[in-house]
Amino acid sequence: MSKKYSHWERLDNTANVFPVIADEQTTNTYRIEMIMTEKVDPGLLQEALDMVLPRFPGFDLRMRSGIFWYYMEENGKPAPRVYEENDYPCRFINRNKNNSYMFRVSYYKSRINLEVFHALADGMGGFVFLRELCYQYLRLKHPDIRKKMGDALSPETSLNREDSFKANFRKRASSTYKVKKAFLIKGEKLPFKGLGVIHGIMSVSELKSVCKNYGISINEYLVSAFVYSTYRNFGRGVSRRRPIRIAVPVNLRPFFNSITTKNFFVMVSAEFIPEPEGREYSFTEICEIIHNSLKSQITREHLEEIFSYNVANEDHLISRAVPLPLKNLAIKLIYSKSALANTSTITNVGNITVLDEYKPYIKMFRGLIPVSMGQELKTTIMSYQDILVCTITTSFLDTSVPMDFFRMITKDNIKVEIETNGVFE
Amino acid sequence: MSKCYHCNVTVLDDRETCPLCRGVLEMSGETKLSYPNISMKRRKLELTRRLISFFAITAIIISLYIDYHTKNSLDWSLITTGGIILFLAVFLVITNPASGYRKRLFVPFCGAVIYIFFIDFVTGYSGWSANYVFPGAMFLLNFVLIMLMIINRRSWQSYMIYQLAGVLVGAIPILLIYMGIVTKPLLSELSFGSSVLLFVGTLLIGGRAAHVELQRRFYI
Repeated sequence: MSKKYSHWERLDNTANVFPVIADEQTTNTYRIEMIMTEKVDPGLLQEALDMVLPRFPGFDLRMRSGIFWYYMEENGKPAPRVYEENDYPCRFINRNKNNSYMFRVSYYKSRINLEVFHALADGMGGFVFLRELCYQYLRLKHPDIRKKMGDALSPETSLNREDSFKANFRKRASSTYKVKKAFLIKGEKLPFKGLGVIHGIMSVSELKSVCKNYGISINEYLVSAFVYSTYRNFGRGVSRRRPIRIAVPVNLRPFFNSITTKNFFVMVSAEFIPEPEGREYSFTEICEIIHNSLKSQITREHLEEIFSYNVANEDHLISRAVPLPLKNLAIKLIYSKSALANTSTITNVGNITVLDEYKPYIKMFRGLIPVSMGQELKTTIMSYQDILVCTITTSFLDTSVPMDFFRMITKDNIKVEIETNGVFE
Repeated sequence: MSKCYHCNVTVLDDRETCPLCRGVLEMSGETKLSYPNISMKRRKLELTRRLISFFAITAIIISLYIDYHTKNSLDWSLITTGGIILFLAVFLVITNPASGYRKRLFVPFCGAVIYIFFIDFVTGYSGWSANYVFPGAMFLLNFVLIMLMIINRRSWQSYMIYQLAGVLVGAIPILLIYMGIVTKPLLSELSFGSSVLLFVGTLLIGGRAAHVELQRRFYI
């Protein structure tokens, strides 16, 4: 520490939930993978992490428990050790291990993994850090790039740590959350609390062309394919009382001109209710339902309403003055209700860009989110250049929903390559 | 890579059947293993934990059985049962990969204190656990906190919250004195006093850094 008193910051509104609910089953730790064109050198990767971490105050943090709130303060310990991947992805990060850092870096063959506890940063924030780490790694591996680019952070990187929820909060709003229970997918679990991973690799241009025919976005298309495959497999359990509801995180940065690396997203839910119950639906019909459901919710006004309700609750004097153990109980209760209000989560991190100098060494990006209570099958979408990877993470041994999901996509003449983590025997 | 004609996908994994539909794949090129094999490692650790748990439960049942059949009552077997449960709890915490150092310190420490109280109760409660063991544990806790502050001196102030917790826990023997449960109050009073002195001393000597730490911890 160069300063006398270490820097500290409050958790943003979304982040307050994660340390309360996180455990080995609901880890709230997501992963971003970068696949290189050559094998990873662990020594250089460690050196790159040692160089980059001090420049990212938003990652050089540890979590502390106050009497009323969790907070984060400057860590200052040596960077965590990079290691060869030796466990399932998205495992729980214990804040009293790993040099108290809330992220970890591992590698396997030509892949670099960054796993981040969600209280620290959302996908965009995590990706910014991983990108700089990989830039530094490639500069160390290829001195010609280092000579050309130097060791400074790239101009596209943001180190902003604004709590954008608070900054854009205007006035109290009523709750827009759905709390009625959704249809939940159930099935036989993988042994040893395993996490199954299925990557579906496809072409962005092929997807765009197909989506244009349907008149919907890529995100809406993939959400519709998921709803369609769930309804095909579990149609009898889906009803007005138990609809299929897919939680879709929406990145708020473009709506509110924010460049924060802290969490700044809200959840909207795409809902499908069969009318009448048990009726057969074509894929086109489901696309239209999902499109209309999402379109009505993804407006600046509605998104502001969603987070304004949360911020107002956090700022209320009574909730502020409640000691942390009691607050945690209340948060756990509220969370367990809202977690069961969605069948699954589909998150689209969007299109990833890197500087031209590094493109020849980077093949692909992939994202994984962990399963959670009631949502034991989730999807992450990430694209880089013309490659889009749709990753399904699941704790189920049964793969009927992913199977129908990818079959639906290939029916539209989109070529799909499948890669898994080998647990589906 | 291999082709699944049922799903119409290309499978990059090194396997004979499709991971989606378990249909047989047509091999057409190189395949790869892009993730390490975790199942074997997990299997061994889980098996070890289950075996130890089984032996512990067996030992408890055997000791209870022998004690009851030799004396027609449960006596020494309760003490061994408590000891085995303590051992099992500590073992499961230490072998849990997700457990941090605090849980690995806290669980054995508290478990040992509770076990010693339990022995006192089983042997007819003469009060030595409340009179001597609890204050002794508080002295040990204060000593450990001082050592941790010295070892981890760059963030010594982060232990103040545990010192405060020690003051609150250390007040329990004072309450037990008033309730007449603690009959030899000297050690209890000294241990409470040491907890208070440690916290106040850290606050005064720590100066601004200590105040800043408490401000953060009590931020509302």
